[in-house]
Amino acid sequence: MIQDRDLLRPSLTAGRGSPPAIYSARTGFLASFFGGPIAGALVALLNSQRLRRLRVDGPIVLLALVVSLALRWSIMVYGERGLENALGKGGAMTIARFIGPAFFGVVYALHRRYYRGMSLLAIPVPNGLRVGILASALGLGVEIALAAVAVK
Amino acid sequence: MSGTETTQPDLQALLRQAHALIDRRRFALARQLLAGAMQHYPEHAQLLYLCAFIDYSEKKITAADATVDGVLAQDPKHYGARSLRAEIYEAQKRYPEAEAIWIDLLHDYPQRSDCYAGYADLMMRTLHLDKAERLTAEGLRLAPSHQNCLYIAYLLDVIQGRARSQDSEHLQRLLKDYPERSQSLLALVIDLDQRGDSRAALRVARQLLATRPDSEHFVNLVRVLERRGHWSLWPLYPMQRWGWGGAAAVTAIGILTVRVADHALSPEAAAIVTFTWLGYVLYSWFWPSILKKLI
Repeated sequence: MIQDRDLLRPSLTAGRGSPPAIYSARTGFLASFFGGPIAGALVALLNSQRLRRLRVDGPIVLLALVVSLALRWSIMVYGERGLENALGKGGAMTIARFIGPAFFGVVYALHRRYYRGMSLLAIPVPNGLRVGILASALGLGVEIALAAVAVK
Repeated sequence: MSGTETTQPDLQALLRQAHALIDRRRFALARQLLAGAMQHYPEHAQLLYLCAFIDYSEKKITAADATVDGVLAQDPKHYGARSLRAEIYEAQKRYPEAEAIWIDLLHDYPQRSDCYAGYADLMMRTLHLDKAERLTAEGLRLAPSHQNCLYIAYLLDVIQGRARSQDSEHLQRLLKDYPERSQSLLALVIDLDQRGDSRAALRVARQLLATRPDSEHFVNLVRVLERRGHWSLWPLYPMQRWGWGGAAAVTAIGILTVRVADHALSPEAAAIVTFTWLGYVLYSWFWPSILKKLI
C-alpha cells in the first residue's frame, strides 16, 4: 500500500503543453551584471513563475532586491567619496558593479538545483536573449531614475 | 497424416527467446522471431507489445504508439503496454498525459517499484524534484535494490548537490548490485565527472560506447567529455570544476588583480594586466561555444 497518498495527486496541468524549463544562469548573470539587481530579480521571478514556486521564492527575491537597492542607494548618496578615498578612483563604481553579480549569486543559490538538473538531464534551455535585454533595460531605467533622485 | 499440417510453436519459449534477444539489444533478430511467431499467433497482445517495445527502443515512436493502440484495444489493462504508452507520451512531450497513466498504474500496482521509477523519472525531467525524490524513496522502500529507482535516486543526489565525493549510498548500491549494467556505468561516468576526473570519466564513457556503438546518447556523452577535456579549455578549469562558484571566484580575483595592478604597477604594465584580463574574459565567454561547433 502506498504510504504517501499525496504522490498520487497530479502535478502537471493538462493543456499547458510541455512544462517550461527556466532561463539559463548565464541569462540571469548577464541581466544582473548589465541591468543590476532589478534586472536579475526580474529574470529570477520569471524562472520562479515557470517553476510554479513564486509563493516560495517571491519574498526571498524581494528581500534580496530591497537589500541590494538599499546598498546601492547608500553608495550613491553617502558613500561615494568615502569609497573613492578608500579604494581609489572608480572604487564606488567597482563596488556598485559587484552588487549585480552578488545579487545573481543569491538567485543562483535559490535555483541551483534546477540549473544543475537541467544541465545533467540535457533539458533544452529557452532562449533568454529577449528576456535578458528587456530585464536589463528595465533595470537600467530604474537605476537611472534612482540616480536622478539621488542627485536632487 | 497430412503433409500440410503444421505444429504450433511453443509461445512461452518464443516469448522467452524474444525477451533474451531484446535484453541484448538484438532487435533485428527479435523482430524476425516475433514476425514468425505472429504468423501462428496473430494479434497476440504480448507479441504485439514486444514489437512496440522494439519500435520504441529504436526511436520509431509513431509506429510504437500505433502498435500499443492495438495491444490496449485487446487488453486495456496490459501492464507493459500502459507503461510503454507513458514512456511514449513522455518522448512526445505529452507530460500531463504520461503522468495520468503513471498515476493510474500506481493505483493498480501500488507495490511495483517500476511504476515509482517511471513516475519519478517524469517528475525529475519536468523539474518537480521534491516529488521525484519522494517517489524514488517509496520505490526503494518497496524494493531496496530496484535498479531504476537507485539510478534516479543517484541522479537526484547529484542534482541536489549531495553526491560529492564518494558518499552517494545510491551509487554505491547501484555499482555493487548491478556492476555490469550500462546504467551503473553511466552513473559512474557522472560521478567521475562531478569529482573533476574527466579523463577517467571519458575512459568509462568510451567503454560504454564500445558496448553500444549505435547509441546516440553515448556518442554525445563521449563528445561532451572529449570537448571538456580539450587542452584549449584548461584555463577554464575553475569554471568547469566548480561551475558558477568557480566563475565568481575567478571574476573576483581578476577584478582585484586589475585594481591592484592599477595602483602598484607602471601604467604600461597595468595596461598589460588589464588587457590580459579582458582577453581571458572574452575567451571564457566565446571559445567554449566555438569549440562546440568544431568538435
